[in-house]
Amino acid sequence: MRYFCQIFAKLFLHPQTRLKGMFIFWSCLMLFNTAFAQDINVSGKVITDDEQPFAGVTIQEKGTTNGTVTNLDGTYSLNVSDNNATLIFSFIGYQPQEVSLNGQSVINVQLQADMQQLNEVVVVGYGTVKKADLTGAVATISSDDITQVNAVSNLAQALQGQATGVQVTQSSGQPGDFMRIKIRGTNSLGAGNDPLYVVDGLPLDGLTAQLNTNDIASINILKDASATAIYGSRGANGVIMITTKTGESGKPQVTFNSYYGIQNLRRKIPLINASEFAQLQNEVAQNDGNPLPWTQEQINAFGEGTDWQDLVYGSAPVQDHGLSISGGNEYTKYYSSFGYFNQQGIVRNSGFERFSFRTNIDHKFSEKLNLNTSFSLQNSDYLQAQFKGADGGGGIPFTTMVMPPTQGVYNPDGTYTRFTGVPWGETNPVGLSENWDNSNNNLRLLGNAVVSYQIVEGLRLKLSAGMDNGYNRSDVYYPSNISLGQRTDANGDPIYGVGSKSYSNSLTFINENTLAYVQSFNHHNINAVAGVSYQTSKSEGLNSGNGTGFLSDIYQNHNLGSAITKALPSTSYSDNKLLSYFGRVNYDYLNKYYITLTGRYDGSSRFGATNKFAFFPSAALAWTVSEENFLKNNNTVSYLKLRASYGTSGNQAIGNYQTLANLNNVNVTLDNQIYTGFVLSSLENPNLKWETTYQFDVGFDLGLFNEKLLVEADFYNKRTSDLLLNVTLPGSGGFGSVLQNVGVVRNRGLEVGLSTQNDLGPIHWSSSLNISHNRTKVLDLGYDAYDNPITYKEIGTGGNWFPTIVGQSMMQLYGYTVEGIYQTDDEAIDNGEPNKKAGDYRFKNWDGEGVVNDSDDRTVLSSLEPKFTFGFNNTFSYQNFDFSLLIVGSYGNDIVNEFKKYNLTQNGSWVPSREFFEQRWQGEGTSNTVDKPSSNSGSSIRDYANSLWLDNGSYLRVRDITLGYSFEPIFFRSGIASPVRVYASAQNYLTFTRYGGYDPEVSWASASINGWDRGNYPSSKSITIGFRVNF
Amino acid sequence: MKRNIFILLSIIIVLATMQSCEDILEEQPKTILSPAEFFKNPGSFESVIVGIYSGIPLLVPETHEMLIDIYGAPSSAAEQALPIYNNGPTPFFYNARSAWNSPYAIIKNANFILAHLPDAPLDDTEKNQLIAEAKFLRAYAFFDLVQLFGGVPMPVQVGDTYESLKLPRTSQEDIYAFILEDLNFSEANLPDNAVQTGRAYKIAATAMLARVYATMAGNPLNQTANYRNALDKALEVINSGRFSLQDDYAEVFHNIDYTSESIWEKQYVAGRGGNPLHNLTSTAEGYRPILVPAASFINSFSDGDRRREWGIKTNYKDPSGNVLPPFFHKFVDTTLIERNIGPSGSIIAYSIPIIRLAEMYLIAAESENKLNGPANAFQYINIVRERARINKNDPTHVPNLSNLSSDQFHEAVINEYNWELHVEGRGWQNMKRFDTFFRIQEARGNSLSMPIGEYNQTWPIPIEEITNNNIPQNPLYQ
Repeated sequence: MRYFCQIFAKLFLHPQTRLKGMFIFWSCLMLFNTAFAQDINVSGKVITDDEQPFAGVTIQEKGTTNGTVTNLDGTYSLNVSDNNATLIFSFIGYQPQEVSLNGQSVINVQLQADMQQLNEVVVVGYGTVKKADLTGAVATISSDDITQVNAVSNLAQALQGQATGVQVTQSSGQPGDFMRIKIRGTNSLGAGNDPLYVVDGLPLDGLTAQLNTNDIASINILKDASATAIYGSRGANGVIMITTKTGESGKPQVTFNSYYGIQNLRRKIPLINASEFAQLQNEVAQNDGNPLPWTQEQINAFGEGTDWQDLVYGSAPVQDHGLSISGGNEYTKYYSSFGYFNQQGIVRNSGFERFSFRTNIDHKFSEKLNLNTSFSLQNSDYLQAQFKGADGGGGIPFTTMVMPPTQGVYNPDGTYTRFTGVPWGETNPVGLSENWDNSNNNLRLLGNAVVSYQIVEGLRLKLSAGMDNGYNRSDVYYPSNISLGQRTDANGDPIYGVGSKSYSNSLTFINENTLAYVQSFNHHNINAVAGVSYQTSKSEGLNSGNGTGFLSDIYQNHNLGSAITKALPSTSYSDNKLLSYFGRVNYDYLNKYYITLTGRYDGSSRFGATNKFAFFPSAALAWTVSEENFLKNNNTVSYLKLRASYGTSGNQAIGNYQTLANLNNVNVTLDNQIYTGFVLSSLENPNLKWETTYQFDVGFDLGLFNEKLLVEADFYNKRTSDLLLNVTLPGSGGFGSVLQNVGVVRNRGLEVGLSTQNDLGPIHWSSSLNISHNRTKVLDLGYDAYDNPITYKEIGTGGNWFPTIVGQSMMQLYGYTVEGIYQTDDEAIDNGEPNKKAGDYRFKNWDGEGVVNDSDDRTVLSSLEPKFTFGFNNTFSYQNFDFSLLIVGSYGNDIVNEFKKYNLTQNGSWVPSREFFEQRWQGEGTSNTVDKPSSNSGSSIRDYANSLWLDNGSYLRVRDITLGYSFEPIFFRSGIASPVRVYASAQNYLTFTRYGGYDPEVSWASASINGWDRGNYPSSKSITIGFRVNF
Repeated sequence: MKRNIFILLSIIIVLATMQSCEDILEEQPKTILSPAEFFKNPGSFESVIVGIYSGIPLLVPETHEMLIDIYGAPSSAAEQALPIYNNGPTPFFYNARSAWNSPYAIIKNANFILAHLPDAPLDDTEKNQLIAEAKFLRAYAFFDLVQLFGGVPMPVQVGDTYESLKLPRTSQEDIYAFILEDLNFSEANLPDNAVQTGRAYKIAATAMLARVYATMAGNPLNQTANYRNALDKALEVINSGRFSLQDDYAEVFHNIDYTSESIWEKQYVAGRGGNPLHNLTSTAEGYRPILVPAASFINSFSDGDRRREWGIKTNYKDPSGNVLPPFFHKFVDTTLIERNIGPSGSIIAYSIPIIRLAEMYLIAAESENKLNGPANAFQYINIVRERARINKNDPTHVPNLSNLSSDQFHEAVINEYNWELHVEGRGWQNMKRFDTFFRIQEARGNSLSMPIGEYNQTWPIPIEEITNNNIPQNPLYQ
């Protein structure tokens, strides 16, 4: 046994992990747990429904961990403890079978393909329903799919490519950073586009990387109005229902799973070397008429110079370990788990670490009275690299890309060199990543208790109370050796170090009480629920502000009182409440004709005094055609259901207190001191109300060849009106903007999901393909003071680069079209750009008159919407091997690669990419793509949106490949444990794209703008190995 | 069974009524105050007056300074600067938005407190002082707007709905009349001394009146009768005995406190900084200056002019020994350049003069010349010139002016404004009232993307105002 523990420790533990001791402890503990007599031998053969030998079927003695798998010829042999034991035969995609021995020693079994997708239970708002009885559009993702891809910190990322209508993009490659998840397009311009998360019935705002994916039993995504209306004002962006694992009665099941991997920069962008850069600087000087900075000898001596990408991006480990114990008896069931996840970033000093604990206990006091509780605790540390702010603030990815290779990391005196090509930041990417500390600690506690009591047969009362409590601490310190930490005191003398610390906490309490009624009579089935919900949330915070100037970096931000320039602290407080009444009736006749009616009357404190409440109804119809006589025994069409739904849901994702007149305090300097003054910052807005989405959905579920091929398709049309829009007010009113209900947006789309179960001889293959298409169109933006329709608006982060235009998608790139390079000075004059000369960018003069500068010369350059996005997931099993392949992608979209403006610029202040350097204009006829080297190079294409920023964003990515092998390890005595599965997997190793930036999965500042790359934290690829063992 | 249902229904009803009280959805914020709550405190009125000062100074370098003949080309990497420099501003450039929205924010804040002050529980003197202060700041903002944009919407109260914020353009004559009304009230009611340094007081209103009258006397109103008022007000300030020119031009700047010639300044806190002009004028490595001196301007100074010798650094070497391109020194802290502190680390607390005594002398000189010819006007301009001498005892340094015709004198005044007040935020407005836009054509010639034209008389109104308020746009530069 000691040997076993050592192997574990050596094989799977990184020397640095702090879990080493714990790991060995658990491993050894688990071994103690297992010693049983196994006397009676059972053998037999398993065949498939078309009578082929079935290899790889798991056989388990019920209530124990004793089990085996079938061989290539379908045979098996197992020792059991008791001749009345029950064996469970199971295989993915097949219905499990239980067979009692009753004294027999040979058991042969034929497994039937599972119609699991139809029989599985789907979690919907305030209840569950069999998939076959579902009337709405709901996607289901199993726990296997959720944990399929390794090196993922965030639950949302695990959903990528797994369901139709769900678009997931990373906001950055920073571990632990949030994800952008959009369900059926972009509804909202001003309010949020994030879906509502509901974990075991508890609605949560903003779920980031704080949930341990190993704890999740299933995820259901509610998409159409019939499914989301029960969540009323929070349903419009879709709802993600997360169900965590519960125990099953029987002996305790101990599961341990673990993986370790190495991540690397996914793709390096080829830049020019130091000699070439010096050469470029000479060309700039020559073209500008300045003396040449370098001699040819100097240029040659530069050689390759500094490769900043190599210095900044390194290998980073990722590991995940999870231990769970579950079990129970007839009355009490439990599931308890511990998880540890640690993902370091490919940029130094960035990473994400999470400890998570969960305990779910269900207790049945009697047939009538049940108690379900779940409690979980997540402690996460999020170490953030300086990458936000894109080209501002000297972010690491930006500086790494543009810093000249002719500069070294250090000056002769040992200080860091600085990038001075732009006036902001002036950082050194190596220095910044090595020395900047910005850590966030989050402790999140989720608890939920539900008491349910069956009043009479079919009528059940549920009372629930839930809590979501979060504590955050944020530490920031800029030390003395980086430029951001070098400041000036009141006398103008240098002082060093900038630190701040902030704390915040939030508490949400939810009370929900429902009454559920289930009754069947004469083929009429009714399933109804009604309830009331009350939710109150508040958050408070304390931020120290920046203290500047410390005697030593040792203080970091822990002794702000000693700062030379004192910090100005600030505090915050905000709260909001929701009060709702809701109900749903499902009715069906003969399991053929279904109708669902849902409604929620929702009140939110956030809205104007006259509009606190709103009603969100929906209705759905479904017809199981395959139950009709004309299809009942059809060999081809084994299942067919038609569905249609229409209804409303809302969006209230705006800040608190937006409808109140508001006096804000401002700092004013008088007498050389800071005084507090007040300004009127907003007017009362008592009419503000909900954003409402009307959604129509029609779809079908089709099963062919005994459900071996399942097709799900949906068409939807969503119309969101009363958009919560931060409307720019005429500046002459003195206010900037105000939240108003303005405008209409339509999202229309098609989703197709195909899943198959195939037996290719001994190989079992299951696959699912999903394709989603969505088009967003702005239909209306309201009216101006003279009742003329407004057709163009600049909203939020979009500004004038991404305006909102009636008839177009939500926000699109809007600007000049670059046609090429002027080859002669006269061409520029003829085209209406008299300032430009040969070698400058040629802008298209759309109206053909005057100069290129007038508003008429800017047009919509790209809608940025993909024609479709897709996911294709495959699992293969052959004997003891399993193999899975997940492909995701997007087709037909452009990405705004704003960073390209730096890659293109040949001004000698920063590094262009090799590709564009080689295309630079060097005289008439030499290039029509990149302008002339000069200090003005690129200046005309950096400030204004233009067509050069667009890159083809289509891609096809092998998101994950996993190869696993299951075996009974020699150091286990036979039957002690289920087979151990070991596997190796690779993430993001293969991507087919023409996108020129780091990664085509880009999302930066705004949820409403698809793909805007401003030089983000690059994504990584990884290889992991792992294992899973059950006792 | 029936009993069970009854119990159940009772429970539901109790729970529902417990929660159905809709009052719980009323927001009771703890971090922001409604006006009703706010004005319960008598000290609140003054704190709103203080709040208005968060909007000063009104100085958008591209708008207020760059498009005049004394500047050289800005850094091409400074966003949108070069197109404006080349006479191609558009309604969607940032400077249009800043120049338009900032004064209107001041006006809104002033209008807000002016609506509440009449009911304030304060004595009449105090009340009138605060009203005068709000009107002073409102006039300062309207004056800025009317110079840059001509006739503009003239809100005199805060609308109670967002619809009521939309107003048509008022003629510039009416706006000037309103400015005078406000300033006259301010001059009459402001305290003799500012309550806090940086706030308005009586003579600051007088000085502002001098500036407004001089502006009204020039292009485009050409109400030349106002030279009389301008002269009176300027002399009132000069003769008040409260101010005197600093001996050395260099001592006017690089201060955090008022000097003897400060009339109204925007201050900053030492160590916290906030003055943006260092970053906008330094030509050291890593900076992207917007305002740099044109060679012709550097060469236009008289011999021995401290404003050239100290005010413009032409052979300044950075720590690596590189000679920096010429830069204006007024707001540049060269110790930062010596220490290699770039724009992102610079903290500058030098105060920015909004009105200072030298301008009053120049207004007096200009007005006296326009009213009575140069004879009596030389004294006013020469006092400014004498102060600029490097060697005060050397009359060849910035020699006294004499024997000029009225037109020549006027020309000299225009140049003196530039030499004395460059970068301080009055450049474009002075050029407009002197109608000397042609000087840009002469200085920049072919590099202009649009020739100087009638459209130069005003700036484009930002596109947001046009799309949301539908007022007529100013002539576009095309």
